[in-house]
Amino acid sequence: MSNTKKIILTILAIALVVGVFFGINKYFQGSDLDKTIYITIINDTNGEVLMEKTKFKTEKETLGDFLEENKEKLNVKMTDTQYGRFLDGLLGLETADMTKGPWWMYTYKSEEKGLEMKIGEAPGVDSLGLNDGDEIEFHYTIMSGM
Amino acid sequence: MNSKKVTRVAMLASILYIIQFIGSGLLYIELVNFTILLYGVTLKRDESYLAVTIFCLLVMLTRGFGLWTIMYLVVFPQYALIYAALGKKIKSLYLLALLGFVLAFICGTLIDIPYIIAANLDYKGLIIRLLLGFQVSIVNALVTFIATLFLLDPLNKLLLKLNT
Repeated sequence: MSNTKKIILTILAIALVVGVFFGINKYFQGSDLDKTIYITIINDTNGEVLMEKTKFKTEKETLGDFLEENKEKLNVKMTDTQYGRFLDGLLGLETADMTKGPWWMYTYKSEEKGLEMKIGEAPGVDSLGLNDGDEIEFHYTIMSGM
Repeated sequence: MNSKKVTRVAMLASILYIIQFIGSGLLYIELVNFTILLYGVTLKRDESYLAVTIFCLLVMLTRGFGLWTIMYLVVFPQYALIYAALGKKIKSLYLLALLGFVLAFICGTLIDIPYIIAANLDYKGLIIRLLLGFQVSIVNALVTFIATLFLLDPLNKLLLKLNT
């Protein structure tokens, strides 16, 4: 097989993969415009509702960036991993044992995108795009969705 | 099995482990699938199967006895058998690269199956999970495809030399 053929095939394959990659990315992409989102925070270990459907204004595109923006207000603790940031702590509640939990998990509802994700279904905070009217419910729970 | 063969299988498994270890730090770029393809196409069936199985056991020993390490053991040795059976019959490098692309693409989903079942996802949840997985799988598939096109022939010759 000639090198020219290999190079042409490689370029075609890269084009296909880039198309699919960004197509999927777009599906989960958020809006960088001014928007309102609603946050609920529940400690499932004792049933206490720490924050109920509280309105937040943000221009951030992803949940990770929104949490970073509200780091002080929500007392957010996140760790950088190869898969993006991982949520360790909210409002003073932090995961002490990564193998046993409780962990911070969340549900996500977006009327604009027609998406509804249960605990364990939503992607990581850096992969979850935000849109106007989105509702995110954080749970400090031992349920991992599995 | 003679001592020469045992040593060779151990070395091949170790090389595969090193490749996996390096790739685990790079989310989208891994050459495990390509290396299994190379072993399957180049080596005798029992050698490639053993090398890949020992590699999976090494991963299990060092990374813990988890669902994903068990799935490695379920999926990858069978891949070695598929490459050994089909790869030696396929004469075209294009088709071999395409086979590598397809198997590398579905590999992530196969390893994810127990998690998908345990999560008891509804239809939409399943689609979301698959799409997010495809994002990683398609790049791995591309890497396998390109590596097969450009590296299979030279590494094939090298491995055959080592075998003689």
